[in-house]
Parts: sequence; structure tokens; C-alpha cells
Amino acid sequence: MKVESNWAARALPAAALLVWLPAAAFAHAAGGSAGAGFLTGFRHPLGGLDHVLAMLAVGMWGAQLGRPAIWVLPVAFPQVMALGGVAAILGLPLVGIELGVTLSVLVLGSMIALDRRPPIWGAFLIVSFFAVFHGYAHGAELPGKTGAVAYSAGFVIATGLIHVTGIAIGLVVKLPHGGKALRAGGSAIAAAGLFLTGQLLLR
Amino acid sequence: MSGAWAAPALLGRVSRPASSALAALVWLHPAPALAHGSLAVGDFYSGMLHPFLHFETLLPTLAMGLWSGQLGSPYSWRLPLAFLGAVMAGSVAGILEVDLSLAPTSLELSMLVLGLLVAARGKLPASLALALALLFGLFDGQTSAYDPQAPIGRPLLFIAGVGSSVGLILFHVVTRVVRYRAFWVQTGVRVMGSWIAATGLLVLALEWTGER
Repeated sequence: MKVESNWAARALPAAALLVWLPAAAFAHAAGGSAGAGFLTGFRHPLGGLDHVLAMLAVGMWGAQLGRPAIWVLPVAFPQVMALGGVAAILGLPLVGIELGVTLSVLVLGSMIALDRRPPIWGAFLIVSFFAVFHGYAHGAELPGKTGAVAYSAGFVIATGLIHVTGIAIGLVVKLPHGGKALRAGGSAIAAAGLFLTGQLLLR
Repeated sequence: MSGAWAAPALLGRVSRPASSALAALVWLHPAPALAHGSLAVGDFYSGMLHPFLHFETLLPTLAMGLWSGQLGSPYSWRLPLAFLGAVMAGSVAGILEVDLSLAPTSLELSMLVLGLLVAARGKLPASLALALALLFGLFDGQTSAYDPQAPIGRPLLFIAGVGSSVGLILFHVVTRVVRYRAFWVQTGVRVMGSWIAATGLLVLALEWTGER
């Protein structure tokens, strides 16, 4: 316990800085490239329920799988998603993007609910497959003008923070009965995924 | 007696990170007010603000600091010093309007390369690491100071300001990465590297397609 509280004392100021730094940068676009795009990019991943749920699920599943997935996925995921974004920017065709996104919510939620434990490369492949769709969907909406760095940084950081939030939620597995609670959470996400997929197919 | 000593000692122990964060907050606080490009804050302060207001120069600097901290001594002080020196030299080049036409793309390239190195905890031969720090620092500084549309009145003050901020960022990042070896902190460092690389990759693609 002592170690944890120590760690919290160290982490909190850093977290406060993280919250503050963008606020300093948002101030006015006139001062630099940081103002205009960052907030827009940061908001973007938070706007879509499907995207938020899928990212949460990736984090929760990583926490359920434990090491090494719990750190491999957050490190590797942004790269794969960025590759999907690059594919969109370069105009490479990809079919069924929206279906891929909603299916990812369904599949990842089910993985947690059923407590599936593939080897690390299997988990990585599943997550990567869907990450490409998410990256593609967002990459297609990247603004192609100045402030692209700030927008992209905001977008990547927001996505990463949802992922980290998912890991934090997933850490309930360490509590008594936490494993069941986590699987219940996974079922809820899978149900939402089923609904979103159905909505898309019946549209 | 021991109780009288313990109280301030405990206070000092708990509040040191908090107070350093507070100092940083106070230091950052003027930024929102002074962020207008047109406000006359003086060339030194506009130089100091520059790295914070431009992600394309901030992110490579952060990645440089994270990577140097991961590698440990002697990299942890050699690489930041080399980078800082190169930023100053690059700023001089920027003031003299030396046009390194690769520079805009190279900032994204340095985000990608340094970010990936952080994410992978990559080790490079000392000479190659030093060369990367010098090259990326040069581009970082050149872009910071290169602005033919709005020439800087007192360039030396501006360069000193840029150098102060870059030096402070590197110092704070490197010392923390070196000091906190906990699994979660080091994982967080790698994740941040991954974020920086992903940002670089996306913008690099935008630049290639000429949409920027």
C-alpha cells in the first residue's frame, strides 16, 4: 500500500500538468499552431460512441489478459491505428469501414465477456485488425491544412487516454469478484456493439 | 524531538513533487494571456513560449528527452546537451534565413523516429544516437527561428528564450524518466513515445499527399 500511495503522490502532479499544458496551449490560435487544432482533434475520438466503446474494450481486455498484453497493446495500438489513418490519407480503398468499427465493439466486448485468452500475438492481431478500421475512419476526416500536427496529436492523445481509462477500469480484476464485474462490463459493451451493428445493417 | 523533525521532513517528502508541479504551473500560467502573436512580450519571452505553442517542435523535444532518460547515463546528459546545442545552432541558421527545405517534413520524421525509439526502448550505437540528436535538434531550432514574413527584432534574445525552454523541458523530462523506474512509469514513457510516433506518421502522410 505504501508503494502505491507514494506513486500516487508522484503521479498526481504530473497528471495536473497534463491537464494544464493543453489549456496553456489552447489559448489563442494566433500564438502558434498549437491552439487551433488540438482541441478539435482531442474532441474527435470522444464524439463517437462506437469508437469510445471499442477503445475502452481494448484497454479492459488488456487488463484482463495481464502482462504482457497490458503494456504491449497501448504501445503498439497507436502505430497500427496511425497506419490505418495513413491508408485513408493516401486514398487506399478499404471496404466496410463502418461495419468494421461496429463489429469491433461487438467482438472485443465478447472477448472480455467470455474471458477469452489467446496468446499475445493473437490478441494483437485481433486488436490490430480492428484498429485499422478505426484509424481509417478517423484518418479520412483529418483536416489537410495547417495545424495538422496539433490536430493529430490531440486525436492520438485522446484515443490513448480512452485506452488508458479502459485499462484503469479493467484493473477491477484485482479486486474480489472483480473478474465477474469486468466480464459483465464486457457483456454490456458487446450488447452495445450488437445494437450498433444491427442499426448499421438495417439502415 | 523526533516528532518535531518528522513533520517538516514528511511535508517536504510529500510536497516536493507537488511543489515542482506548482512551480511549472506558475511558470506556464502567463502562456494563455500572452499567446497572442501580436502582443509585445519581448523577444526573449516569445522565444520561451515558442516551443510550447508549436507541437511540431515540442513533440520531437519531448521524445528526445524521453529517449535520453530511458537510455540512462551517459546518454541521459550527452544527448540532451547535444540536442540543445543543435537547437541553438539551428536557430542561428533560421535567423540567417538558411532555408533547409527538408525541415518541415523532417520535424515529423524526427517525431516518428524518436517516438518509435522510445516506444521500442531502442538502443543505438553512441555515435549514431549523437548524430540523430544533432540532426533533429538542428531542424527543430531552424524551424523555430525561420520566419521570413516576420523577422525577429532581437534574434539573440529570441534564441536564448528558445534555448531556455528547450533546456528546461529536456531537464524535467530526462530527470523524471531516469529517476522513476517503476513499471507503470516506464510503460507510460513508452506509450507517450508511441503517441508521438503515431502523430508524426499521420502528419507525414498528410505532407506526402501535399494536402497540408
